[in-house]
Amino acid sequence: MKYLYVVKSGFSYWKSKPHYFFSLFYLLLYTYNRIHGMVAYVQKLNTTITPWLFPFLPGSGLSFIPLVFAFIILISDAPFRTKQQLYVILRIGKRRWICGQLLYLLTVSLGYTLLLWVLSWLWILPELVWRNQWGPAITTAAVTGGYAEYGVFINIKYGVMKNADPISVSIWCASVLCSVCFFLGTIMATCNLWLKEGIGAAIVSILVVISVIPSIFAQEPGLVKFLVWISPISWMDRSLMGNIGQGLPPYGYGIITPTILGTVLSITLISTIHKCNLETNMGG
Amino acid sequence: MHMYRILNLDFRKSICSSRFMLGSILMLLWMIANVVHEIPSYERAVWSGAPYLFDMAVDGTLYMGPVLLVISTIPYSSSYLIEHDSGFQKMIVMRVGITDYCISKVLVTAVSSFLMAMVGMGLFLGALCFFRLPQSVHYDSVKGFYLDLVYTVGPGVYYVVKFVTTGLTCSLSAVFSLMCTSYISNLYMCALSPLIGYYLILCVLDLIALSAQDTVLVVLFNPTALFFGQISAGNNLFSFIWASTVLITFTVLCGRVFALKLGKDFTS
Repeated sequence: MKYLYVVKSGFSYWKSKPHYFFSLFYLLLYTYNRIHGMVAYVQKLNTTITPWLFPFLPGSGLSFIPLVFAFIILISDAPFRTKQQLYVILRIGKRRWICGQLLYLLTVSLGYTLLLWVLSWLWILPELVWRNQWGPAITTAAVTGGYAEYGVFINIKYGVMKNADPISVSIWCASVLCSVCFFLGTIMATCNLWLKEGIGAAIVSILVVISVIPSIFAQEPGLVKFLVWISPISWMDRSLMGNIGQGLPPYGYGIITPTILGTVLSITLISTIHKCNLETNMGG
Repeated sequence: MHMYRILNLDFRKSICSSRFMLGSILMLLWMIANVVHEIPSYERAVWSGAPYLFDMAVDGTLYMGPVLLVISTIPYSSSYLIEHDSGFQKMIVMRVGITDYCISKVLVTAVSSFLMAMVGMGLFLGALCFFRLPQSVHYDSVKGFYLDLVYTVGPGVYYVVKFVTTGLTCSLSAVFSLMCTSYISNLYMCALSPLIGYYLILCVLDLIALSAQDTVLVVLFNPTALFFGQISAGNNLFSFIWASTVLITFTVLCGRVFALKLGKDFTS
């Protein structure tokens, strides 16, 4: 219950800081801008679309980066060290407090993943049919392309849907996205506690931006493969994963690696929090 | 007297700082990244010509254009937030007054970003000259765009046009970020706010185009064309004057909003 209280106080902090709601509002507008053109594309094909656009979002390269930045804004203040939190720490202890903050990060990661998933349905609702198959619209888009001229700015790659059903691909993508978001959140929390303010945001942003480098240096396959192994955003691109014969990571790597790294950082935070001088330098 | 002193202080803090150099270097790297994936060899670069490479570098490719908006916030956009959090701002305002403080902040932020863009572009142009790339383009492929100024007037005028429009873009982005920091006390938001504002405006213009079937507004105020391209192909003078006017007007507006917010905070 004490952990839940810390989570609740984290969300109540959103009321006093407008950038959280601004970030969510931006998420709504940006996903609409990237996806709503699929309705016109589907109408042109004279067919309907199934609700499985979500797995293609992370593989959209530069189009996906602003969405991740919106998430980073949500976690940029973690862990919250307001004046009110000082009283919370005095009552429940530092260890329970940091566990609550980590639970808050997990909740935000899960909520963000679910929100993206729902938004991928919302903007194509006029032509949406609920079927457990990729459907003719998505298959045509993946094989022949031509959707960009309708204002669709996500990358619908055949490699994402190859030899797999949409539910398992979507669950895989959601798991990787949630794990990566939590991992980035633990990096932010660790840096904000132990290092100078802003360094956590810089490190997390660099980890996000390195996923862009493969598209710039595509003619250097060695560099591209190396970057896929270390770039958390690339782990979410199903078309890059699973090609073990080409020196790329397996599908399991995308889930296991951020989970293990996030868990290790969480354990490190919990076991070292008693040494941390928690300055409540933020207004509350 | 107060204005001169605060301007002098702010200019020295912004330009004689590692952040200014960092911004210039990042801008140079951004320009190189824009060019490198398209031009894989020296022979290709020679064939393309220096003005074409410069155009590709500042217009952004692979959707990397908006990264410039983030880089332009590095020199001085976070100054207000840092001074506000440290309490230094109250000391300054007591000495020089809120009006002089606001004008100085806006002016120095805009000018330092403009100068950062000049330095970055100057370094890139220097590199192009160092590698002896010709100052010519294939005329038929660039007719109607700023690049045809290379033939009609000369490469110098073309470079001046691009320097001015890109510099003004950086100024607007920096002052917009400064304005956002007066509302949102978060350094990360400070850096990302121009990027978010850019995509927000694109979304809003899309909605206007869809609902009102109005494309004139969308074309004239499209941020992609204003910042990284040309409003009207075939009319270079109108495009340059319109882009410069819009960028300067919005920079002044953002500065005004910043000043109003600060005035309200200090009187309440």
